[in-house]
Amino acid sequence: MADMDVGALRPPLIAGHKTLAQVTEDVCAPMDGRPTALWWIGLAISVLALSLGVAAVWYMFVTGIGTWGLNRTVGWALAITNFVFWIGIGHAGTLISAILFLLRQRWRTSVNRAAEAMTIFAVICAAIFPVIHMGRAWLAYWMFPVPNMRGSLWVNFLSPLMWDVFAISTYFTISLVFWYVGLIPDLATVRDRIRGNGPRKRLFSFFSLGWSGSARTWHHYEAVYLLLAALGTPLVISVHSIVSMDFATSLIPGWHTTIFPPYFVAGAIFSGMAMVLTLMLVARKTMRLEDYITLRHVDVMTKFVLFTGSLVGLAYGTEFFIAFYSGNPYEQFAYTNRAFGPFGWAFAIMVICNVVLPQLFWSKRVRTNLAVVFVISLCVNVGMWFERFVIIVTSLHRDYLPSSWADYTPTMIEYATLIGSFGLFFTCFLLFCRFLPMIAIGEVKSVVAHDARSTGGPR
Amino acid sequence: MSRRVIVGAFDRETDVIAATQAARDGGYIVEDVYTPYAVHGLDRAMGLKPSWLTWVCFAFGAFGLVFAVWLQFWTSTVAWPINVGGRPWNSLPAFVPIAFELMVLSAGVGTVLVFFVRRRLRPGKRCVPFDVRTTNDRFILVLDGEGPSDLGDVRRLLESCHATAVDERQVAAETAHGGRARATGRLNLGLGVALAATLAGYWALGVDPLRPNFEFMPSNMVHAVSAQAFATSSVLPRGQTLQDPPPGSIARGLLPWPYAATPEDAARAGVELSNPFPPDDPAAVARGAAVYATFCQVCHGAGGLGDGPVTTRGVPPPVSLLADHTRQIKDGQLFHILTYGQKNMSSYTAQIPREDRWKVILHVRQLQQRAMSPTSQSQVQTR
Repeated sequence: MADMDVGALRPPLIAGHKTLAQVTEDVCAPMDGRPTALWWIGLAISVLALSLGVAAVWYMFVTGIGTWGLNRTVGWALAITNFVFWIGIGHAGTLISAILFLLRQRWRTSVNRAAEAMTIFAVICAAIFPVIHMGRAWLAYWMFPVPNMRGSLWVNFLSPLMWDVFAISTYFTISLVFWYVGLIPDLATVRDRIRGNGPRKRLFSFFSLGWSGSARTWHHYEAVYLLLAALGTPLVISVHSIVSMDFATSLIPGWHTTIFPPYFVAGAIFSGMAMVLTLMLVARKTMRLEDYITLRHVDVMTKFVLFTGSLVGLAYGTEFFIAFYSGNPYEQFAYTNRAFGPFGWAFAIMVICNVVLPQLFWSKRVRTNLAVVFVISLCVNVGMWFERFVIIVTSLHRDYLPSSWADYTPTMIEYATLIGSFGLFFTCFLLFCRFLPMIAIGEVKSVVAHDARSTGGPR
Repeated sequence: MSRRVIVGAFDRETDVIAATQAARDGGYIVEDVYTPYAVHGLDRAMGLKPSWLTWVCFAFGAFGLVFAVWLQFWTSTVAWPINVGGRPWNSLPAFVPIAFELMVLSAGVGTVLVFFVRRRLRPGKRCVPFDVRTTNDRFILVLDGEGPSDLGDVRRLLESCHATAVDERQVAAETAHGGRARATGRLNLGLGVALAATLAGYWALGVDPLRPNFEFMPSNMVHAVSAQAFATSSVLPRGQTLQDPPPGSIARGLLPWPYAATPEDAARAGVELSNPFPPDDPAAVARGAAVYATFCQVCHGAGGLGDGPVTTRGVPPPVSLLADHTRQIKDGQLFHILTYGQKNMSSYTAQIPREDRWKVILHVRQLQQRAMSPTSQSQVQTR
């Protein structure tokens, strides 16, 4: 791919005509010295939110699942909403690291490390929810087909919930492996930068696996990286398809539709890309990485948000059309109720945030105005959370039998758990920004060298 | 034991590729090249074959796929088949998602592990670089210096490719084996200590199979609270354990009965209700006859004439069921009489369930019909 000559027609991906040593310095700078006050404030808020979540979950464990606002009709609500939301967030990380790698998109190198880290933290946040939803989380290992003394009684492989267990655990493992494999050369770079033989040097030595930069190792490393990308690409599509089958294989009107797998995958990449934008806009400002995460990166990512947002809008429209066209009164009622029923306000938020606002990205002036991009990316995050809420709660609360209709109001414990998941996510992310190179140094260096060759400028 | 290598340092990737190519063309053996990032084209310059890890990946993927299909087939069909909604045990399409996931998991993790083992990457391994800047911004070419080569020639060759420094070094030959032996020894020691600690713990704690397990979560449903229906409750609304039924709910097996014990409602029941059982239902008629014999015959008599056994012992005889007046009473009104009673007759709700009351009416109608037919008429009269 280095030979693909784009010439001087395109501006360089990395601004400021960096030398290789400068790249190392710039990326490692946030890891040296004392963290800024802003970082400390962010960490304090995140840890506070995390503690709130831990307390809420502990209270729920000790008292019981009745501390949530669920009832017999609305048996899935906030916890499953949060689960699908976080899993979706993770998908953009894999898109950037795997799919864009296969598509030879060289701009990904500036954001892929952080996006992959985001994936891992988001999957951790997501996996917590189904586990605590079981009420007795310490028996979570029963979900795996382990030989046991009950016969052995095995799990039900015909259930989409069981597929979910395998999809999520595979996705987490492969994301972690992919991230770590990408991190090894950079860990070695940091290791060789540290003078003396302190505990930090020893820690980086331990985890860099004795990496020497040997071309023979790089040769196999490249193959491994390509293989992981090729495995990760269908994996990421399968994961959200399987998540959507949790709903689509049921018989609830509003869930039982064949459009769910592609619709969920598009929505996942949409929400994840918005989260990457949110995080990267903050990171480039606070970590002084403006030369690495340039306006061009932001521009490409906003186009992704626009594209996937339009796909999601198309999916919303298709659902309503099929409900009308099917002539099925239950389907028609479910969608009328979704738009105009008791949760119509949530539907309105969803449509405005997910379909209307991203259309502003058609304008180049909006795409280059970072404040507006930041606000829209936040709105998309909110809108995608509400999309899952709308799908789950409005479909359940008015089902076939009017005698079983019910309403749902989240309790304080559920809100606290949601806040706690954000606390966990941002705690992990802030620690990652501080202690690990948040840009893939090795990959950026190859892009810098490529820029130098193709533009003829100094290296 | 040590041996000689020649080390050249470069600042640009294009230079190191050119130097590598030139050294190989010049008959030197390229031991390795150390670079800060993956330099494309270097593998060709070094003459490296394509990585065989793709085949490793394929093998692990195939293993994962076969294992997953076998696991699902064996557990669902052979070991403990469970009927889930009547679906076949061997539902191959339902096995596809997990088979795919396990294939990806096995292929990805397996390939990375083989890569680590093959390239001798392991946690805690010490790296002694030729130049500490290799991982930053310097490219290092290492040539085998054991042959009858002259350092001057090599220096001229590499410097023609813009080498910034060329010198020769002594490296310890094949230190890998010693390191690996030490690492294996340490691992064995660790495993031995862990085993000893486990055995010691087992011996010290002892195992009593009769002792209940440690209860580490209070809500583990070990102690189920059994609530009495009429006891007070501290958690449920209005302090009742048994909650009031919702307004308008009716007990199972009962139907609404909006009639009072008045003659007006009896007449209304006659107009509004009809027998749910058809007169030609032999099972219902047979049941009606049995009920009649048990509960009605003592007063009304076997034929319905009102000459049951108790009438000979002082109980006032009831009106004949075969009388014109009785024959004209509608089914619904008869049901009302059975439910509430009439004159000397008391309510039979407690003795005869709802459906049986309708069935016994069928039997009474049959008695009346039999009495009306000419042959039975004469029998009745002769009796």
